[in-house]
Formats: sequence, structure tokens, C-alpha cells
Amino acid sequence: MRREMPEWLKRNYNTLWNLFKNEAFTFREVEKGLGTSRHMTVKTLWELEQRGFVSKERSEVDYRERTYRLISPEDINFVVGLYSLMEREKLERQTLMEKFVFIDEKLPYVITGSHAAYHYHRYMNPPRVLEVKTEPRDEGKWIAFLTDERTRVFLGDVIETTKVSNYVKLMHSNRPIKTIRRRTRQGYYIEKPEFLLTELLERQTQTSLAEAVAIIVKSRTDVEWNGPEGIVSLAKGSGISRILGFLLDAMNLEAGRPLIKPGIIKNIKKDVAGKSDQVFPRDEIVLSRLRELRNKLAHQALLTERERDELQRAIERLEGYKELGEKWGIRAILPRDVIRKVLEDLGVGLRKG
Amino acid sequence: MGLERAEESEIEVVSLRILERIDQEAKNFQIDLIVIGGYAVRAYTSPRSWRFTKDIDFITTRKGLGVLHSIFELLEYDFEQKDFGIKGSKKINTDSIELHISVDKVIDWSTRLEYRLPEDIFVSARKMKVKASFEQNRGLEVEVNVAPIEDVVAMKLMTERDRDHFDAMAVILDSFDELDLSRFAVICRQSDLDEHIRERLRSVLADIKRGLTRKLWKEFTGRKLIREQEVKLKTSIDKLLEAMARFEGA
Repeated sequence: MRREMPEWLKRNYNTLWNLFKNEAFTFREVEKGLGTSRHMTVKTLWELEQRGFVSKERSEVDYRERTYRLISPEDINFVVGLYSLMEREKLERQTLMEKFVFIDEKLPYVITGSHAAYHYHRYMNPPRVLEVKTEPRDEGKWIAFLTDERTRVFLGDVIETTKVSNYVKLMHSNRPIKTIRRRTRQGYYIEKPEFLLTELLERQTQTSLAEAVAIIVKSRTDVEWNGPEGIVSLAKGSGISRILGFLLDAMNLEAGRPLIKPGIIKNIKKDVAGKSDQVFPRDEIVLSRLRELRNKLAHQALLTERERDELQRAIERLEGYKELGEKWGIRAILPRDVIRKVLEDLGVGLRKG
Repeated sequence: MGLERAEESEIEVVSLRILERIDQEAKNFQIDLIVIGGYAVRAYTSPRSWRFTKDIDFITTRKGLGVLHSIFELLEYDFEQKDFGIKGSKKINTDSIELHISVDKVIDWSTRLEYRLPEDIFVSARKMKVKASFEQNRGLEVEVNVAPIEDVVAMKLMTERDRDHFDAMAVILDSFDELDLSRFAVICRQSDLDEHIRERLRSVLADIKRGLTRKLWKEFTGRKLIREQEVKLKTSIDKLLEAMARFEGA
């Protein structure tokens, strides 16, 4: 974890900073700006990247195409100062999570997404991308602090890099970070379950919904349902009361017993009236599957009886919660096994039939 | 609050140790028992694709079932008879690790389709390394008997769940060179799943074309599927379909 820069690298960094400041630039522009050979340009960018002093983005069309953005001198100084507070021998061996424990209150952050969810549900292990909400003004500091031999930090889409085991995705929060987080026993901060659940429900992917169901199953008696920072109120504020109510109802339906107190669902129902034209989940994969099946079924004359039955069954699978969707005034196209699998795996037991 | 649980990575260590121990006991008692499901996918893929539960899936034969009961008792697992085989459960603090052992066949409950175990599945199984996923457990790996890659892919493609299709794609992408195309075609036919799996593979190709595979990839790995990977996946699926067509024509 080298942070000190040799003189030649300092010179090149300063030249580039004077040329580009916070603006994005390409390899060719660096070559031209520094007036160095290709070899030296590669070395400069590589050395800066290893130290976390430049952020790199790859083109989604051509993986080899990349643009760079320098981390500001102020942010670099901040991080060099941070590292000077650490014991030298610890620097080399620190895991990503230990870095978050070390940063503590020095920079506000909260771990969100699947990693935070795993902390509550211990169900489906998180992917290698750690989603962290930070202040936009601190992005440069985070990139410089977290980047090391094993970790790369991204602001936008995360693209696979060889020989790296951790990916960090920096995100923004629309609420003050310190109000939505709680400290774990291990010493790092994760999003409070109430806020995290709202976040997962808003994402509306099959995975985020499965994780939301798993958190509810595991923490339903611990989380705050009512009150200004309770799940019901947060969902109302985010315009997802229908989704929350639907999901809780679906969980009770699949379990065949009131896993979630009916009073909570009743409370949510009070906040929703009439119908909406909302399709739930707004998951392009599910939507596309349904469209594809409908198109195939539209050409009945070309289908065998077996094919027709299979298509019909597949459509029913996606529209298994049709009635429940009507109750909540949404068009539900959530495959029932998304919820059933979680309940079954977490030992809740399913309603017969 | 009861939200604090054991360290995230601890449960993975316990799960891997249980996997290793059961595999070892199965060997000691000379019963056919091999790993399928998430841990098998782990063995055939790079860590980026791992989004599995801590639960462990095995397959065995009816012959080995009696001995398995003894192994479970030895390991202090609670177990119950299910329609697919047996389900075992062991409490680890406030969490639990579940074992699902399918006997002679694997039933997918999203389609109710059955994958009948090919005769050669146990002899074709390989000792493979299953690595830990959490950074805190870096370096931890156990060696266990894993189902052949062809069976793992077929079982994952049999279901209607996007999650399983993603697993199949990850295996195809990372370990296609290990896949015996002829065996894949044969085992799909033996389970009367060839048309179903062909349809699924064609559907994956259509998803690649419509950009849905990219979305699926991002949902499960948090990362972008790059063009090179997409091309590799498409070429591999084409080869699988060709092999199935060749077998049908033979």
C-alpha cells in the first residue's frame, strides 16, 4: 500500500493536475500532455492507479478504452494524513472491512445493499461489490483511501478487473448518512434495517426483493414498523406503501399464517386508496419474460397442446399473485417462488397446496 | 435488539467445514454422495459469481440412505424425510445450516421436472476445491466430491428461476473447456429434458441479443458483463446446441 510518490511521479501528477484538474482525460491526452513515451505514460498511470490517486473508467463498448480522472491534491493529502495514523505493519494486512472500522467517524459512510442485508439475514451471501453511501464531496478521499492491491473503487458501473478481489461502489444518500446508519459489533457502519428495506424495495429486482423478504423473516420482531422512522412511514415517504403491503401480505399468504402482524398490514392499507397503473416489480427481466410468453401464446395455431399448456403454466407462474395485486391496486408479475424459496430456506414452512 | 449475530464470515467457515466433514464421512462409509447446487457452482466458477446460501445440497442413491442417517446422527443433525430425499438442519448460534440430500433424482419445484441421475454420475464426479468467499476467510478451501459439470449445468437450466440460469451461465463462461459436449447431450436426453434445455439455451441466446443477460449479470454480480464475455457465452451456447442437435440426428 504505497502512498508516497517518487519525485518523477509527483512531477507528472502536478503536470496532469495543471492540465486537467477534475476533468476526465484519455491515455493519448496524458501521453501528449506529459510528452513522454508510451512506456512512461503507462507507468505513470499505473503508479497513480495503484495508489488510488486516479480513478479509471472503462468503456462498456470496448473494454480496452478507458478514461481517467485525477484525485485532487487536497484529497490525497487527507488520505496520506490518515495513513500516517496507522501502524506501519498493519497497513499491509488490512482487510477492506478493517479499513471501514479504522475510518470510523473520520468520513461519514454507511454500507448498504447486499452486504448490509447479509448482516441481518445471513441468507444469501453478498457479491464482491460492496455498496457504500458517502458524501459526494468525499469521493476522491474514498478512492484514494480504499484503493490497494486487492481493492478497486468505482463511482459508476463496476467492471471486472483481473487480480482484484474487492470492488467498492460509491453511492449517494438522499438522507443524512449519520441518521440512517448503525454501528455493528465489529465496528463498521451499516444501514439501519428500516432504511435498508426501503432501499431494497425501491430497487424492485428479484434479488433485492428476496433479500427484503429474508430480512423481514429474520428481523420482523426487532425492526421498527411504526413511528416516524418506522418501515411503514418510510415506505409511505418513498411512495412504495403498496409494494410493502403487497409483499407482507404475500409472505403471510405463502406461510399460511400471520408471519407479519395483520395490524401492520392494515395500517399500510390505510395509506393506499384506489388503483395505480404500477407494475410490480419494475424488473425488466420479468417484464420481458412475460411479454415473450404472451407473444408465443398469441400464435396458438402453431403450438402443440403440450407447448400451449407449458406457456400457460409459465404465465401463471409470473401472475401467481394476481388477486393479491388487485387488492393492493398494482399489477403484480412477481414469480411466487421468489418469496416461497426464501421462506422455505429460512425454515418458515409453507402453506400446503 | 436481537439483530446482532455472529460475525458474517464465521458461518461460512462452519458451512465449509461441515461440507468437508460430510464428504469425508461418506468416503469412510463408502457411500455415493456428491455435491450439487451452489457449492458445485462455486467449484466451477470464479468468486465474482458467488451469491449462494450457506445451505448444502447433495445427491446420493437409495442404497446410501441408511448410512447417511447414521452420519447425520454422528454430526448431530436433525433430519426429516422430504419428497425429494432428506433434509437435515443444524443450529449454529441463532443461525442454522441446512442440508438437502436428493435421492436418485433431483426434483425442481418450480417446474416439477425431474432430473434422473445418470448411471455414470458418481464415477464421473471429481474431487474439487471449494473456496471461501469472504475476504476474512481468504485462503480457506476444502476439497470435496463435486457433480460433473454437465450435470450441474443441466440441473441449473432445468428450472425456471433466473437465479439458476445465471449460475448456469457463470459455469459455462468459466469452465466451458471442461464440459464434455457429447455427455451433456446424452444426459439431457436420458432425463427427457433435451427439448426443455434446448429451449432454455435458445432463450439465453435471445436474452443476450436483447441485453437481458447484461441486466441479469449485473443483478447477481453487481458488475457489468463485458462484450468479450458476452461473445464467449454466445459461442459456448451455440456449441452446446450444436452438440444436442448432432446427438438427436445421430
